[in-house]
Amino acid sequence: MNSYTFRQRCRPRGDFRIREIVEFLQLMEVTFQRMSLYDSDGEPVELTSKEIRRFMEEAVDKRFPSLGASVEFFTISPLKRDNNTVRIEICTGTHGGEPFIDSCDLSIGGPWKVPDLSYFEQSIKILRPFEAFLAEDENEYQLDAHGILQTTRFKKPEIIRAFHYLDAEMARSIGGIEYCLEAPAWRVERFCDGVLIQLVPVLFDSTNSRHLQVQKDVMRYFKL
Amino acid sequence: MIQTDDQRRWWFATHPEYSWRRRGITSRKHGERKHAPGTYLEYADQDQDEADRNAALDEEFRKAIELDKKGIEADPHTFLDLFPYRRLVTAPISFFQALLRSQAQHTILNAVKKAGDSGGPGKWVEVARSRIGIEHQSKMSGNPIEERDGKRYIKEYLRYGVYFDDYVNGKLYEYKGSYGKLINKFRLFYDWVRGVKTLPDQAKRQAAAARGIPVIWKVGKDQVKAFRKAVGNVPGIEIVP
Repeated sequence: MNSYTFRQRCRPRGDFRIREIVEFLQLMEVTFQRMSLYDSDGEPVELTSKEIRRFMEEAVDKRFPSLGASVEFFTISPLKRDNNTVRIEICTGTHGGEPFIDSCDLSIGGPWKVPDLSYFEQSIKILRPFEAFLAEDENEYQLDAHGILQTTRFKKPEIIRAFHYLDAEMARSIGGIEYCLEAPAWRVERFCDGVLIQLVPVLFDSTNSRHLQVQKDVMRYFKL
Repeated sequence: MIQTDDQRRWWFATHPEYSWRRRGITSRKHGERKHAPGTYLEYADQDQDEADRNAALDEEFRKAIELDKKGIEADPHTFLDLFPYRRLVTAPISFFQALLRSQAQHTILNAVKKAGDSGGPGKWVEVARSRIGIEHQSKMSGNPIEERDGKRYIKEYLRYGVYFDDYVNGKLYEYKGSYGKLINKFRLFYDWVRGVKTLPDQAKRQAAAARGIPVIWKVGKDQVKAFRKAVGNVPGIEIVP
């Protein structure tokens, strides 16, 4: 059994990206077929610029405003403690001088909750991250992605995930877009001024040795 | 009754058969046989051992008589026989071994460390904390909990406005208590858990305040995966079991 997380990492630019985040959240309502999203108190969230801005401004730590705001939303009221819940974590408003980034993460859980990957492609088009990927959590842990992040620090990808988007600058860190297009993955194509890599045609499974072998080959190709 | 050291020496000189070091005493327990029973060699060996032992006793007895005639001399085994090994050697070693293995080890070592701590790049301050997690923090850091006015206080390490649970050997520590009830079968936080976002928030604040000093989060052995996922986008934090 596996669980999945969809992460989108954006370069900090010091504002809350209200318009993009509202669009992203509206997309998530459609993606997970929900009438509304819920906040931490279990209250339905009105997806308007004004409401989202209020959330963000309340979440900013007054002592550390340069670190931006973190908010979380749920597809089912968290008070119900339903295992079909998908958690959406948004960190935004980080100032440029910090070593941190803005991010929009979906903690999806089991494979039965993973939506069609085309929704993720739409999300990338909205938020324009420098890196986005669907991570299989056990695979992340086994390859120590968090440990590698301590040294790479968003300069290049820690590992290559099953569904992995890199913008032009990130693609350059592992050889450039042209080099990426030759990677031995199931599908590699130009996407949103960057490159989209899909290792296997189905949902990645870290218990499948063939999937792991493809990942290993691709990472060796990129010298990761 | 033997009371003086001279009396003891005399007694061992004249009764060498009671000396631990006398020949013929082996480490075998009473009734233990050297060879497997059922072979004739056993009996031959037993006879030979008995003869050797008697000869040795005769020889030592003869020496003892000679010594007695010359006057009392210190038996070469006397000191070793009389030395209170258990009290002065074995017991203290056992005590320190037990101490080092015990839960007290961390507390005592930390108490010594704190007493001599020069302060490092921040300062120790007393902070009021809620009941949840403070005992684990105290156990891990060795800082005692003090109760005043119905509140619980503990010393934490303050650097650039951010609190850390501990500062040891040039590293800043955050001790995370048990989050076991919030962990699902994937060894991750349940997706309905509220407040997971506070973890990356805290991680960011600590990494920013550390300014290059390594920050270590010590979490439960089976919770490493959950915490690594939760602070997945924050560099500068090492999460270890």
